[in-house]
Amino acid sequence: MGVPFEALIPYGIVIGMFTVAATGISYTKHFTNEGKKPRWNNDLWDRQSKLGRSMNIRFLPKYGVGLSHRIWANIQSQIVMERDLRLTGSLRGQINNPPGTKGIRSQQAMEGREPYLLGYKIATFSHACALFSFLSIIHTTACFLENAAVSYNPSYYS
Amino acid sequence: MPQDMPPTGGYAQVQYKRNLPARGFRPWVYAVGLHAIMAYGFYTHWVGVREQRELTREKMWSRLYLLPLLQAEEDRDQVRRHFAENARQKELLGAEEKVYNSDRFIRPTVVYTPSEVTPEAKKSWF
Amino acid sequence: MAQRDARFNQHVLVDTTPMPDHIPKVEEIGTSSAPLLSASYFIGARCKAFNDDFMQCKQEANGRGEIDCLKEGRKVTRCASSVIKDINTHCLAQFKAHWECLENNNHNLFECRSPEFSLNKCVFQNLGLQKTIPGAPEDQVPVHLRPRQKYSVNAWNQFDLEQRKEAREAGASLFKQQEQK
Repeated sequence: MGVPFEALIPYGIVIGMFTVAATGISYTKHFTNEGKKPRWNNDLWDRQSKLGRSMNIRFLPKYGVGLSHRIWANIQSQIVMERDLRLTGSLRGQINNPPGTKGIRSQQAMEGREPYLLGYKIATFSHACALFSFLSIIHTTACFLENAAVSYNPSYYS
Repeated sequence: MPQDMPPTGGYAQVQYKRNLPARGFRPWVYAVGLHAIMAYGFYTHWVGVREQRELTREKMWSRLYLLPLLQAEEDRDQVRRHFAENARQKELLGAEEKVYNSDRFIRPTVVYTPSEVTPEAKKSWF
Repeated sequence: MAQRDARFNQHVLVDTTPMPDHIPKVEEIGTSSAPLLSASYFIGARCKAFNDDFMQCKQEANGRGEIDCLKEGRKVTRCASSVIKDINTHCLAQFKAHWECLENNNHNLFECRSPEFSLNKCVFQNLGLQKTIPGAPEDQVPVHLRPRQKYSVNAWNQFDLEQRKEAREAGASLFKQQEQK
């Protein structure tokens, strides 16, 4: 006596949904990391910050051998992934320009929406859009277009 | 009538002892073997901890060597803004405003921004 | 100091006013995190004095270091850019291989020993800068010269046979130097 095919439909749905979710997540991860392997276990030094927070690097040992002071610093640029973003326009971007190349931007926004929020947005393109894809094709398109507008804005990359 | 008596020669012995063949090694072999495996594990862990410590040292020193460079870059940017802010204040208010009763450099918490942002300014993010 | 994130408008405002003229200009480093990490020990080897000067100045300026230590800061930046420029001139291929490997492996130095070994060799031959880790125990082979890294996942980024041989010789000569001391 064979199993009626209706009994297998739920399993088909479950497997199908898992496949869709897995494909979507793997695609967005690939997209946000620009084809590189994702960073993990980032500490304060590496981490990108949505808004530049100064960080106290108490985790570092004493500086130098002959100097007896602790490092105290109000460090913002040492959140190096965020610095990468300012240099290259992408959190995962790497660049090896000679010093003084035109277009090196190591400056930070003074006020308002932080420019690197845009990068943050690119980075979260992504899961939001993947979620939207369950709602409708219009949502997905809108989400994607907005992100595309941000990531391909020529003034951002100039 | 004679009473019931044991059979001649007594009853047969009751088989109560287990008569299984002893399997495996002697107990001390197991004890020693387990300890040996454990000792190997602890040794590996010890080596790993020492290596991990060296890797951490390497990472920390690579950051220590980069730290002044990044800090200098950051400071220049802050100072540039500081001078720009002072110049702006002088232009608008006629004098530099002194907020703190101190000579220290303090990263501004509040920044004055233009009330209206022109489309050109919007475009020139960088 | 806490930096507050008050936001009153939706625009990005960047203060693009250049540095005033009385402060000498310096070319900023145009290098992002992975190449910097790759070059860090060479920067340390050449620029230790400048770095120490700068940090000491910051320490002694008592909170005015940002303005008072600009000169030392410029020296630090110039020295570091000279190192990066030299590496780019002489060892570009090895440098690129190493930092790309780092970027692909979560910036873990222990995942990229093979490209690192080639880079260190090239830099030592051309610039005379050597990677040394201060404070490492002297009776052990330095961690970047060990042919096998316990924590590494990538076997193909470990030393190959030739590098093993060279590393062994380098380690042996290092021990010999220490014994002579």
